[in-house]
Amino acid sequence: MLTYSAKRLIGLLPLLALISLGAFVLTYLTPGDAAIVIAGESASPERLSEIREQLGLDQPLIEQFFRWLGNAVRGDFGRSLVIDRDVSELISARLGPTVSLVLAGMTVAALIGIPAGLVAGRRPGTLVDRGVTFIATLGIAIPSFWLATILISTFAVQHRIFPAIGYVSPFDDPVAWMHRMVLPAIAIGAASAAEVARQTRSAVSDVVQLDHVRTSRSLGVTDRRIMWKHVLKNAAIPIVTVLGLQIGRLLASGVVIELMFGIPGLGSLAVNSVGARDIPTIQGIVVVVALFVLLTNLVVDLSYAVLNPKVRYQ
Amino acid sequence: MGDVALELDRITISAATEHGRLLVVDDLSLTLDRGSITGLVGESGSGKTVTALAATRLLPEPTLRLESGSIRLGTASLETMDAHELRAVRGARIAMVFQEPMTSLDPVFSVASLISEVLRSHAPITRRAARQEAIRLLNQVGIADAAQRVDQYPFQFSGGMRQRILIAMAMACEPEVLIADEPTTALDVTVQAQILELIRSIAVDRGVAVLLVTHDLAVVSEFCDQVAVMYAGQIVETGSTLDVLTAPAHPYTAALVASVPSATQRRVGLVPTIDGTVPALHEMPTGCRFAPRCRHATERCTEPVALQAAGVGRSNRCVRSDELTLVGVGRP
Amino acid sequence: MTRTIAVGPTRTPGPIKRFARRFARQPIAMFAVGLLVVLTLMAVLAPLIATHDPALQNLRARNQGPSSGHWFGTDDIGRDLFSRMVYGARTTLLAPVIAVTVGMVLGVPTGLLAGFKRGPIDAVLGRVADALLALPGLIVAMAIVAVRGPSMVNAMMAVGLNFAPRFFRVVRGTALAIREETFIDASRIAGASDTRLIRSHVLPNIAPPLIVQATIMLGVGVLAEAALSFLGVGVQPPQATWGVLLRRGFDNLSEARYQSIPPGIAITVLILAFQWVGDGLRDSLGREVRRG
Repeated sequence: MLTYSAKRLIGLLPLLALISLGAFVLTYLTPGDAAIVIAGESASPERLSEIREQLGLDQPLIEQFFRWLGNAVRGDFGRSLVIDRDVSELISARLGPTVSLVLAGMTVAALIGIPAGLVAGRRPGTLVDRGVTFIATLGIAIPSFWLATILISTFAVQHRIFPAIGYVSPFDDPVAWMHRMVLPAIAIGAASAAEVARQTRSAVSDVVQLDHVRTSRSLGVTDRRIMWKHVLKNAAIPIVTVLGLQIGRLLASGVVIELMFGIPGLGSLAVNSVGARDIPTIQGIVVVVALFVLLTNLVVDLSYAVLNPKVRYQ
Repeated sequence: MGDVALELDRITISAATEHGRLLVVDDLSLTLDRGSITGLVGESGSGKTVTALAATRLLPEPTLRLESGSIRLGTASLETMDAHELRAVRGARIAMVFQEPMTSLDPVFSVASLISEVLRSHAPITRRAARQEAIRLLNQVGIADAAQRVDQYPFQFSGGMRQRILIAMAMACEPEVLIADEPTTALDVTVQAQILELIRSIAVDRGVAVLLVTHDLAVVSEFCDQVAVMYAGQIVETGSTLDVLTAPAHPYTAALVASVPSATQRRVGLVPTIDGTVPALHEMPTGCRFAPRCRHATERCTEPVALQAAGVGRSNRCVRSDELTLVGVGRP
Repeated sequence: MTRTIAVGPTRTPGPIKRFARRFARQPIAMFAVGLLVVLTLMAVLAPLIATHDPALQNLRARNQGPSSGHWFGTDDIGRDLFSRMVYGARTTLLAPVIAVTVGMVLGVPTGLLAGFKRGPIDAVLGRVADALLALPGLIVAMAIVAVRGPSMVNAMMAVGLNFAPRFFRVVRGTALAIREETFIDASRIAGASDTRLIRSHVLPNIAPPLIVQATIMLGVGVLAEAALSFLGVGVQPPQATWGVLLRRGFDNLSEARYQSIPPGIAITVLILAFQWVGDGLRDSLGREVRRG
């Protein structure tokens, strides 16, 4: 088990390296002189050389990359070109809200998606199944930012049940945090819930037809136990896989949702940085987001070993 | 002859086909005695597996449906039971073993967990007690090192051993009836005999009534006390194995006997067959269903033929049974 | 036993006709195709369909609800929303095409190379694809827009870059499978070059799954463009897409709650349409692929 985990962890490194390379290369994608692009046409020569020095543009390419990489590994992405703070400081301050939003969205996806998929998949072809599938198709097609607009319009503007803007840390006031998280979590989690429901339904309907389910039934095991123990555990691998895949979607939707609900997370930081052409911050965000995704994939991979004994013994 | 453990009375099963709803099993009656192994033999498509599934009400609705007839287990009538009552009966009073041991065990649970689950579904026992019982059951079906192996997963056992585990699970709550649907067809020849011996000991030592569904006459001749021959959804002959195989009363039985390759034929690779094929469901003749392939058919055979008694415990569905002397095993 | 035996030569319709017939039998897919045709026509014939000049501001008629004069009402500076939607369809439909084209240009040749040649090329390209797939598309697009400047083309090319690994995987998978077929070895022995093999054997086989993937990605492209425009980093004024209109509707939520509804519904319907067509294509092309 340990070697399995170690192997998987090491497998991440080349990907991380490639992504870092991509992030680093960003600086060189600017049309024309990066410094001018960032500081503007009318910037003073001192400001320009200041920026050049900050970005390390005056040194040979390879040296620049390794210097940047060396810093990045230690969590140092340089200083923001817009706000006079270290990028790592900016990012760590914003990490909490994004993590809580993504977790909330993941919870919505699992709590709605898995039971819906189970109910649909246990009796494939019935009205319940077709109803759930149709709603899921709609759920995936509705853009999260439009859903957020509708939610805000109905539950925050028209009927003031939930606040439209604002974030409170769960460590400061858990109730307020939850209250403010309801609408964003639904907006960000709905499409994921639909996708999870689809995959769960598919996996469950496959498992339900398997021989060993028939064995359990023929020996008098209750339907409830068959569903929640045998079917769920056998369908667990595809379900966990699709849940893990949602991280990318949640992070992407999160960018827009954070902006709309005024949540001070990585997403809103990214939007501001794009507008201000704050390249070091963007680089930092790209690497951190990639790390998020790769670690989630790793956790999913490791869970396979727990869920399927065959994987463990090989 | 012991008393009757399970009685199937005039069972009719329908199936949904592209030609509409048709009967796959027509007016079938069968009794299983305690301590005796009854073989249900026929070609694939004869309806024998469907009959076996019907006995435990495991037919996959709505594709297959029990249309009429009764299933009496002691004083209980299975055909009228609801899901809750059936659940209590399955495993506790009537159990089934299927053909595919490789896929019939949940691969993500240990053997201990699987057996314990069956035990705890029918009696309030503790997990520890269930585990001990699981070890005892594994020993009983002949699995060595039971105390260690009980915590292993199905994929760590061979096909023959998995079938033993399935038999252990089936017998865990000591049912009165065991239905085995081609339990050895998917196994090696060497293992087949062992499993069948195990089933025989279950019948003889514990007085369980066994229905052994098979297409293999050799298995029937060696392990079954009684036999019922099925053709195209109907039983065409019943009786003790000795009587039926040595002196068959129905041409189909005789043809089956004749189609078992002799040692010489096996060596040469010759497998004698019966000419023709089983009629399709929507093209079933109204008279004797075997007539189109029967050497001895006459115009009398175009009339519907009922199962007629022909002595104690014997019956057959051939109008010419009194006239014909058919070749059986051992007769030249 | 009666069985009809065909007498004389029977003409089996070619694979394209077979597929078309199968596709035509799927009501949802056909409906979706119809929807797409209608929307495209609407975009092309915009000058004929729009009721007003979409750029015409009328500050005395701001944030009005739907009326006989303005079918979808007006926006916050008095522009007719219906006309803006009709003209907006143009860029909204064009943007995903750019993204998918870029994705295919990058992904298909590399996929062929990786699947056919295998070895170190495959390993490296595969890793690059994995790395790109690890990043959420929106983040990649934002990063590239940050350095190259906000514009529809930049944004869509960035989205296309994010699409490329998916096309890469589809093509690589098919190329791998074809490669294993024995007739490839036979052709090689007969002296056929790699390019010839690719052209005559691999390309016809990658077409079906590629078409399905492209259709699905068109739907994803719609969502991506809408999101980027919503954020203000995609399409720039005076161009407008439905994503831009949705954003304006959101900004005006307190004054006019309905404004976000037409663009929201339109975007959802467009995404659904591509999804349904993609599903229909997959179902009707699937059998052809299996038949080889």
